[in-house]
Amino acid sequence: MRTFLVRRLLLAIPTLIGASLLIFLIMRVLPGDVVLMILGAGGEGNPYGINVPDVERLRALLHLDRPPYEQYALWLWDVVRGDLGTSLRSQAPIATEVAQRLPVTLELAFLALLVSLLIAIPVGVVSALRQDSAADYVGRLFAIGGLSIPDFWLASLFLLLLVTWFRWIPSVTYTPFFQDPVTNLQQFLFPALALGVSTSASVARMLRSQLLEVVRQDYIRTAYAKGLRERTVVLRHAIKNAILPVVTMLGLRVGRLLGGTVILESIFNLPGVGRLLLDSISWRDFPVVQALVLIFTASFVAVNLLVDMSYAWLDPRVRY
Amino acid sequence: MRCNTGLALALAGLAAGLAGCASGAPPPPEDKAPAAGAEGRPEYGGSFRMRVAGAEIPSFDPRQEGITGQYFHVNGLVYSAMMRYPYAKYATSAPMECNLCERWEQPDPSTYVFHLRQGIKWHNKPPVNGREFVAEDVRWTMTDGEGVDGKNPRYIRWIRDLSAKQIARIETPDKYTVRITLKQPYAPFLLYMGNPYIYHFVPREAVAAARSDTNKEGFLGLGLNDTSLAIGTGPFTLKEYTPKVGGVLARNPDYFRKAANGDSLPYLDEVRLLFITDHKLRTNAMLAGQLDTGGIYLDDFDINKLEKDGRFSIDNTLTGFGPFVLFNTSGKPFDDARLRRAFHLIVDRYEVMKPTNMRLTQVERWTPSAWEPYGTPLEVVEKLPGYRSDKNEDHAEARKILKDLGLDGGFKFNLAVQTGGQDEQFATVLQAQFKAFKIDANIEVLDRATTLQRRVDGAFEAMMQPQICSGPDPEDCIQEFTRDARENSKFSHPELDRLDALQAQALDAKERAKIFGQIYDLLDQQQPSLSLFRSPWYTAWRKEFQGYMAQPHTEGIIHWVDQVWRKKS
Repeated sequence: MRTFLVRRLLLAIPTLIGASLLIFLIMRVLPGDVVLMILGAGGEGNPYGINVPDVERLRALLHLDRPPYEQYALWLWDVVRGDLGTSLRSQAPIATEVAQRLPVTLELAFLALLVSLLIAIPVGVVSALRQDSAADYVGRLFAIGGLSIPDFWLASLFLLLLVTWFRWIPSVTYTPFFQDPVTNLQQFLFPALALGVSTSASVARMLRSQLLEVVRQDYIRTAYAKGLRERTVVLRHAIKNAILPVVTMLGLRVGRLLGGTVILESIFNLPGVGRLLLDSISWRDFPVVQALVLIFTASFVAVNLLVDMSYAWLDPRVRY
Repeated sequence: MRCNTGLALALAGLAAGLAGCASGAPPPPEDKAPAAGAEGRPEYGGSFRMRVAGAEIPSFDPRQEGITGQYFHVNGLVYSAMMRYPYAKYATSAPMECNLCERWEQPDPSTYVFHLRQGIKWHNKPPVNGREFVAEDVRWTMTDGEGVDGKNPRYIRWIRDLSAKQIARIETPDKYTVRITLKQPYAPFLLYMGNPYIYHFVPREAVAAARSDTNKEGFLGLGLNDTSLAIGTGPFTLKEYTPKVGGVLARNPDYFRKAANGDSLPYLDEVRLLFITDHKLRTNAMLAGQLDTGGIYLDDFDINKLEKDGRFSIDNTLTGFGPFVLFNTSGKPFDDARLRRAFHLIVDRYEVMKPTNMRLTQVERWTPSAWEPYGTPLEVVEKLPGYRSDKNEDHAEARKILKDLGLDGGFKFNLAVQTGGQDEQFATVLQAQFKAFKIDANIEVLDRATTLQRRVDGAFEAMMQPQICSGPDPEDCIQEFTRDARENSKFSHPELDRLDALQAQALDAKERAKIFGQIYDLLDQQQPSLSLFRSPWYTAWRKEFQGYMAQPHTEGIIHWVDQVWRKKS
């Protein structure tokens, strides 16, 4: 296991470097200039205020007059030393920005995952065990709906219904959990529901198809023949054998959840990293984009490593 | 099955229970409109919750670019300008009023003498500690080297231009007198002395302390989330600030202004600023009682909802904002003024307006008709070639021009459109109109950064832009084509430059209006850009708040928030 872990961690390094280099190149190739965005920010699309001396002066102040390879090398060296750099737009340390915003995104992703599991597991199990029944059809309809309906549409619908029927929406200003848990959970409930529903749809479908295979196995028939209750057979035998592909899928979905919060953060005014990423791309604030992509990549690598390690716990036959 | 049903019910119950709980925001005071027609005696107290369209204040130095458009709430409420806009719909319709001054004089066309009110105090915060505001503070702000000599490229260009190009010297003959001598007469000078985008006065001690502290974050040491700079002479002081959440401004007990009836101002206990970037969420927050006013960018859909709700006062004002098509006059095909004029004649602006989801949109000429005496009256605009709704004559003349240019067989061009807003819809209507003349407009949708880059580089043929008049003076409506701003529009014309210089120095409004008339005639012939129409701004606020209004330049509203009061019954 230790060798496996070390090997995976070492493999993560070129992955991270490759991702950061790719995004560095993409941001450089994209048209648009953060200097022009900063100088032209006073007017909505009106560049009055931009002249060549200002552009050159600001470019020098921001060290953008250095060659790209030097900029990348300096950035990489800073990252290795734990410094994610400074936003070109706001001049704020990126680490500070991320530290303020990442908990918001992580909370949303976690709650969305929780919601998706709370929905997907019962729906998937019931659909599989009661195949072709009314409950199965409802479950499958739910899954198709969940896959088809965009999460941001669902989120907007929630807000519309809440304000139309109740004249109420969750607080539009972010409240940290430890400051006021109730207000915090009110704020996150609906975006988590919107995100969780679409995630739960695919998980429920996967779980259903895996369970349908498993429940037809001899050992399941043997368990029933031994007189075990359905609940025991399902929880202790069937789900454990059906869960591996579902866990893999969940690992991939976590990555999507982290990136998929962008629109929902805007709709619900949650100051997460998703919105920061979107704004930074719009502004061509590439140090922020690079840092966030690095963080997302690292998170993805870590989550998938955890998923792979969990196989050993879920299936004793798996050894590293 | 039972397990699943129970779970579903539990979730529904949880949702309903949480919805019924008190929200994190304070509940609306009372859910009914006050007695009709009653304003009554202003009352003290209350909290006014305003939306700010952003996530944080990049700098509390109001002279830095990139913050004023979104954050003038802080500027207008914490700081003060020498003058202020009249309490009227349009800044040009009444004289500017003294704010920090008690009176002003103009001994000659190029000289202004401001006599400051005595006893004005800076907010009682270190390092200024409530000392008196004096003439030297005016002089310092307006001549601060970092800003005016270009060392900090983020300083607002308006300030630098005004300070460097218009002002010859600033003198302080005594503690309460500021004498500003201009290099030549400058008609909008007083307007700009009241514009919060420009001269809001800042205390030199606070700025110097920020600059000398090398640990400060922010641009060149000035500002990111540095609330130590938020010290002014305005009606409110910055009490709390949380990035990405909002701020609280508390009443300044030492505020220098009094109401016309002698009341101390402001009436409100506090103003709460909430950072909300999404416009629709803003409207929903108003309906849910979390905001008392949501600012601008309310469209018909929002207005209908707010009107139906019944708890909001709604006002509107026509603005200088509206989409236009900028031609790149430095290259083919639009370097020929005749072709640009043909486009002006081809476009049916009334058809282009149709997809807009805002009421009161109207076809205007270069300056809005409501900006008297500079705007062309609507009844005149409606008869002018190009602007009129009956296009028969216009189209006949356009065909003739195209034939003379050898383009009656058709040609293609790229029309760049910035994403977001409705510009793509307007561009589609334009495309169809051009097609009738065999002109093929290829619509290229670009994000803002790319649009800006293309515009600065001149790498475009035609480009839709969201606004034309950026300020309250008619000069702002032609700034794309005059003086330094033309480096972005690529257009210049010697006669326009001559007329521009004349209008800038014409201190008599009627005389100035005549010159602007000649400018509009010239621009109609030259058509460096196609101005399509003007959009209104709607403002909505809860009915219990009195004294609020819509104004095309919201910085004007902000200065008058010191007179807003909340009717409790």
